[in-house]
Amino acid sequence: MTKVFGHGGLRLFLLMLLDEQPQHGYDLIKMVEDRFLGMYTPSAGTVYPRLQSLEDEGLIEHEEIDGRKVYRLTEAGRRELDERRSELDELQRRAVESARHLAGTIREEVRGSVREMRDDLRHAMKDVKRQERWAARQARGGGWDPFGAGGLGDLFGGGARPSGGGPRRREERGRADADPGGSRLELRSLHADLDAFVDDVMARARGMVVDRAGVDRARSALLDARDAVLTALGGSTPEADRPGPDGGPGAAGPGHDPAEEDGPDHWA
Amino acid sequence: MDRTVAEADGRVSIELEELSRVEVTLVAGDVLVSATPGPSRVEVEWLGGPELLVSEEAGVLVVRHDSWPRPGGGGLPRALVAVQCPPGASVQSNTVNASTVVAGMAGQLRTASVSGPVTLSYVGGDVRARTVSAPVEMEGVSGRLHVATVSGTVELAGGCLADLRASSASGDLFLDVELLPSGTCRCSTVSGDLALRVPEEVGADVEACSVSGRLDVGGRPVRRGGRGMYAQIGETAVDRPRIMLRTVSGRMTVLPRRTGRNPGGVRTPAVLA
Repeated sequence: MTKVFGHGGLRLFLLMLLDEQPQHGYDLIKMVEDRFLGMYTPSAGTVYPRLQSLEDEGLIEHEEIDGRKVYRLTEAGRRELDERRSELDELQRRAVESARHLAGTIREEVRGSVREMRDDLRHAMKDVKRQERWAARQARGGGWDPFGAGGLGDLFGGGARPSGGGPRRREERGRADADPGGSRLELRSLHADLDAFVDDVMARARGMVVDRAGVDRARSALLDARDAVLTALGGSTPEADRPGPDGGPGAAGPGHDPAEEDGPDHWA
Repeated sequence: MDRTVAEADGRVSIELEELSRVEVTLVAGDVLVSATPGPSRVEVEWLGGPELLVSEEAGVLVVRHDSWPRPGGGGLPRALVAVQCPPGASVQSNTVNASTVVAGMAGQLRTASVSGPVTLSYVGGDVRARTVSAPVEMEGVSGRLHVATVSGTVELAGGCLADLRASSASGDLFLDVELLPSGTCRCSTVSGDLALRVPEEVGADVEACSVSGRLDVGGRPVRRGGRGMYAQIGETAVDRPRIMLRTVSGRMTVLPRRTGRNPGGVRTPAVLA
């Protein structure tokens, strides 16, 4: 915490405490701590020399009770205190400010713990979802099957029901329903299928040892696959825009909607 | 002891007889109640509005604004009220917009606020917190806890509870907590999500009831039947705490905490140690 007492502040504060009642040095330390809500504890090495100098100046005196010094204010000390009332008020104000500081500290501490807990929980929730999706796919026959239940076959046969689930997909379905016909619905279903393809490949790849060369071979296979897919869709000359192994956005095939942020190339 | 605090008084610090009860009613500003082994004390700073009334009788401290609302205004009643009292004292704090912080108290605790956030740090005993739109953030709560909000988020990081009830309309509930064996936890929302985490070694019987919400129990099988969905965490069959969840459309997640780490067991907050 920042410095609570300026020059002579602690001295004055001790006078004020002794004005309330005579005290042991140790009790004085405790009282200062209490007044500042535990935010400031003066050490014995700070308090005792100040008591000594106050005594030397005749502002306080002590008597020994059971071998311990009990300090009390003298008349001169009381006069000193009265003269410096305004400074004392300032000290009291700081005590209140330390209350505000304490409230802030507690709030920050709790907020920190709570945030950590919430992030932890959110993370764990995502893991659960991922596992579920994987388990669901396994149950459906172990992989990406566009013509099986919930796949492409359903999409074209029985309305827009993309494979997989999840809120994003549902949202898409809603949009597709709102705008049926044309190439939009078909594009959606293609997109959904590509998504499912990515999920499937990733789920399988997780169990494998993947090295750099493997990734390069996979890239090349993906480019071939892209060309084949675009050709199948009735599109462009595949060789014209082959960008090399790091993929990059492919040519706009027919029906490629530039407004669509994550088009068919988003997995490349 | 009766006194008023107004602008001219500035900040006032009053040492009191040992308190057994604290009642603070504030519109705006800050309320801080913290436990102390030392003497009871109240610090009040007037920051606006009508003067503050501070009274103490037979160990009961009451702090509130005088006659608000009153004709002719006088500004928004705003104040800082900081109380230090024995941990066992009961506390009641009612605020509109003022934030409430309570630390280390172990008796009866009631907080109510409209839009002022509530922070509870290492409190215990019998705790109830209600807000309308403000968040309730808690760490290390023990004993009984009832939290209710309309749209605020309820978050609890650690604690050991025999009885936990949390409800909200649209606010999310995030609760990471240890329930005592044979303890119960009831949570309900309308559209807010419910996320709980409990220690795996203690386990839990989970019952969920929902119109359209989904239930995840850390990948464990969820059985449908009777009046809802059922699942279970942990192997031991004796005295598993019960978790009852209810939502219209919120997502429900109950996760086991694998390590025995309870981020906020029962200890005193660092700032009060």
